[in-house]
Amino acid sequence: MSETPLVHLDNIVLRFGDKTVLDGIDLKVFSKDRLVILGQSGSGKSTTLRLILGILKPTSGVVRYRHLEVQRLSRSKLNLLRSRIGMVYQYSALISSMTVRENLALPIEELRGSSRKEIDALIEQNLAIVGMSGTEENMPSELSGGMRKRVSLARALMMEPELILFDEPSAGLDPVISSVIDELIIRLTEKTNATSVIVTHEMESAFRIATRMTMLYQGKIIEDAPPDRFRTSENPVVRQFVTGTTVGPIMETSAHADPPK
Amino acid sequence: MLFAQTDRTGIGSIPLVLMVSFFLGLTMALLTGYQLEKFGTERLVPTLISIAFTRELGPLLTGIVLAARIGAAYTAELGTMQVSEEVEAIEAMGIGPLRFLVAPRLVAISSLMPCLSVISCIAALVGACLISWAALNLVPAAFIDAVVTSLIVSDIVIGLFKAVFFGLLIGLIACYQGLTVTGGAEGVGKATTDSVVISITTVIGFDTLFNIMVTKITG
Repeated sequence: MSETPLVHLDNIVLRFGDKTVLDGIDLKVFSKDRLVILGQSGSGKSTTLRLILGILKPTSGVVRYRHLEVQRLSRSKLNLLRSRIGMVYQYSALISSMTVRENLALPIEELRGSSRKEIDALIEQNLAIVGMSGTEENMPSELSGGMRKRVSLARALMMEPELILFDEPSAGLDPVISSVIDELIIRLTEKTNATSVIVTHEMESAFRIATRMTMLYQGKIIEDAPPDRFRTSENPVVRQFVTGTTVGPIMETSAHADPPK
Repeated sequence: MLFAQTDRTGIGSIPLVLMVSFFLGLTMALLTGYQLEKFGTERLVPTLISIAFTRELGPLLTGIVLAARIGAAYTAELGTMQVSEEVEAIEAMGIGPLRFLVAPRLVAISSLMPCLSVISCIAALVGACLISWAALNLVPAAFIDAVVTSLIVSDIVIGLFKAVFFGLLIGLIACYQGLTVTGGAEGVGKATTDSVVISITTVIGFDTLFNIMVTKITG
């Protein structure tokens, strides 16, 4: 009997007006996967993460989390589901008016109501995991981009999620910090047994992190394979994307773009 | 969160409400006093000012001050959080943004509006009392006596009801404008301006409608 996927995007179509962002994609995320979603800017990678979280609803198709249909869940059940998923945003999305401690305490204070002592211990533990001990009283504006991303990752870990979503984890970071973040993602997912979905278009980072890679192009999945097979893919679009050459089938202007925010 | 919002909305707004109301009460008493003096009825000034402020100007003035000071801040804050994905991050954590971001602001502004409205009335009466004493030879004791005699419970209740309602309106408009911001920094600026303009216009519009209805009902 085949394994039940943790997340299943079943024949998802997503349109914004007359613009088709996702055109019938079928994607399964299995437990303990480190799935990297690749694609050009505006190809619907981040949109896919928002579909998993139930922030966006597909035009047609079903998003399943285990046996649950995400878009059919009531508000309270959807919130309960979201508390089992951690999300690390491209620009960290830390609450700018709160200290690092308050940012980390937020989900657990609001959703679990644990004691102050337990929360403090968890904050200390998660900040140590991401190498950010001693920054509890700092404001997000006092931290660098890489530090903010690590704090954002620590916040995502507070609820001990079974699935962590990363939206462009290495975007805007220098190569060294980018490698630190990549190694952190690998170490964390191995240590916590969490499943992760990582959206990126940084090839080096993708090959370092992934146990499976999938590529979106013009609203469809054109490749889904382990990193070694992905690297040697026969698909000309994938090959061009991996090598980064300007000669190939990828069009500079794509009709498929991310929705306006 | 609620305490922080209450502190900023309430305590932080007291100086401005005090100052504006004091000077408006003073000016109103002075101008009406000079007109009424011609007919020898300047003793009506305390009655006029007290009824005008408890029923009408106290809540209205406080509403306008809070729309400009607090409503704008709510919109700018929530708008900035919206464009920097902070609101989405809160939602993604499974925390309802309405409960976490909107509810404390609505509770703070609608519960503190009546308190600030009372402060506005007192400040206006103090201003009116001082100018009546200085310019109209109306001693404070007589002024206070006239105020106490002329004020009836329904005036105070209507004023307080209006204040709560205006607070709710300003809070709802400001939060809605903030959470629906699109277009980055420019969008936040536009939403903040819209929030103040819509709040003030709506408060004045509802006040007029309310006055027409109450006048019709009470004859």
